[in-house]
This record gives sequence, structure tokens and C-alpha cells, in this order.
Amino acid sequence: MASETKQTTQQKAGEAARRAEGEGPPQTERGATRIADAVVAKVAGIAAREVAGVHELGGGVARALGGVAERVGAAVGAAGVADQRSQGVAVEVGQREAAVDLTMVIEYGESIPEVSEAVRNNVIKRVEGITGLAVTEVNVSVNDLYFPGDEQPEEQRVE
Amino acid sequence: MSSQTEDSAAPRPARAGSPRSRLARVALQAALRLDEVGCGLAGRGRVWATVDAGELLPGVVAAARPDGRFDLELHLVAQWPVGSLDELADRARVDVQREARRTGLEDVLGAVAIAFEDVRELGASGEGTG
Repeated sequence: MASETKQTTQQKAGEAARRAEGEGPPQTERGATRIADAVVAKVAGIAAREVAGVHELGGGVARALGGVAERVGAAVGAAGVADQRSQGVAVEVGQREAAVDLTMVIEYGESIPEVSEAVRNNVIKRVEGITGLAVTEVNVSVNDLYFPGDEQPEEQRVE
Repeated sequence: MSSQTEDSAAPRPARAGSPRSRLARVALQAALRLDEVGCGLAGRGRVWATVDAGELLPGVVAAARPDGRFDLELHLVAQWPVGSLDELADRARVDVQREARRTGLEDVLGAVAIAFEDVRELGASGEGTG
């Protein structure tokens, strides 16, 4: 059950980062400002979740691992805490540009193209506004649909 | 009998310590007063930290320069919702300069580099000590 609007490869995303290689972080006479990749990923994740119709981010494995990590309090985030805000988000970040790959679950009944486009627009708006990086592309992969009641625990098949 | 108590959570005034560590404290406190700055991040191994008056200050490094000044690095966690991080960094730099001037440390203040290491939302778990 996967609908993929991803049209480019990770290589293309990497080009954005490589184009800016060799330049340092934005430097003023008073000092430099650096923004960690984790910040870009988290902003993109929050921006995606702001869009109506997005149920959650991440593939099945990522969501399962994220759930386990959250329950045991494992350190998986940049700040050393379990964090779902950047789950399902991969970023390539250069000094001036960024490319974002998102994997998400959308609510059943929503238009996948419309939700994907809304996500793309909001991610670009947020990431560019907050970090000052130009977003070259936002690739959206919809890997599942959410149906109300899906969060109910499955019945055990064996006793 | 001493009435002094240990309370690392309570902000302490800039006192004691070397000019380097006092400057680090003043800078970190100035940055943390901004609403959009959640905390400092010491990072793995606590390499982004300075000790002042026996207290670990997570998220700030002060390094001596040949001219007697100290360059500062602030490793911060932004607090969602947040606007432009570049503008926030500029505001932090201005506040650090103002506080350094107010506390008589302006003459030892060098460049202020600011790194945003993470973003956190209100109510999210996690501490800034890395």
C-alpha cells in the first residue's frame, strides 16, 4: 500500500549539499551561525505534522523502533532523548540549501496528491523561514494509510 | 554553620571564577533569557561546556585568543515555535554583548559563534545537558 511521489534519487539530494561544499557557515563580523542537520530534520518533521491529513511520520520499521525507544527512554535524538519529531525524515543539508525526504502515513479518505503538496509547501515555508536554507526538493513517500481504530492492539493469535 | 545550599537549578550571579568562565556564564545566561532558546546543549562527552565557580555550564565554550580575548561558542536548543534562527542568533549576540558590557567583560569578549543543535517543543521530554 505504497504511493510514492518521489521522483528523484538520494543522489540528487546530495548534489544540493555538495554544491555548497567548501563554504563555511554564515559568518558575520561578530561570529558564525551554524544550524545542525537535526534541527532541519526536526523543523521539517514538525512542519509535515502540521498538515491536516498526515497521521504520522515514518515507515513501519521506524515507527516500531520509535515506539520501543520511546517506551524504554532510549537515546535516539540529537539531544539524547527519544524523539518522534524527526522520525521518517531524512535531510541532506549544505551551507545554503537543503533537500528533504519524508515518509508518512496519511489518513484514509484524504487526497494523497493534495496532502503531499500541502506538506511540501509547508515544509519549504518552515525550513526556509526558520533556517534560511533554500529547500531544493521535498520528496514525499506515503507508505501506509491510517484507518480509525488502527491504534487498537491486535488480538493475540496464539495463547 | 553555613546556610549555603546546593541548588544547581537556581541562577547564580556572575562571580568568582576566571574572566573566561565568567564570560561564559554571562553569555549563556544572556542567550537563555530569549524565549526562543530552550537550553544549552553540552553534547556527547560534555565537550560543549564550561565550569565556572564549580558549576557546569552546558552549551558554552570559551576559548582564548592571542589578543587576550575569548571567543565564545554557544550550542543551543531552540524552543518551538521559533522564527528565523539567523535572526535569533543575531539577537543572542547583541544580548551577549550587552551583558558583557554591563558586567565589565566587554574587553575580553571575542567573536560569538552560535550553533543550533536541536529544536524542542513545549512539553517535550529531554534535558539540555546532552
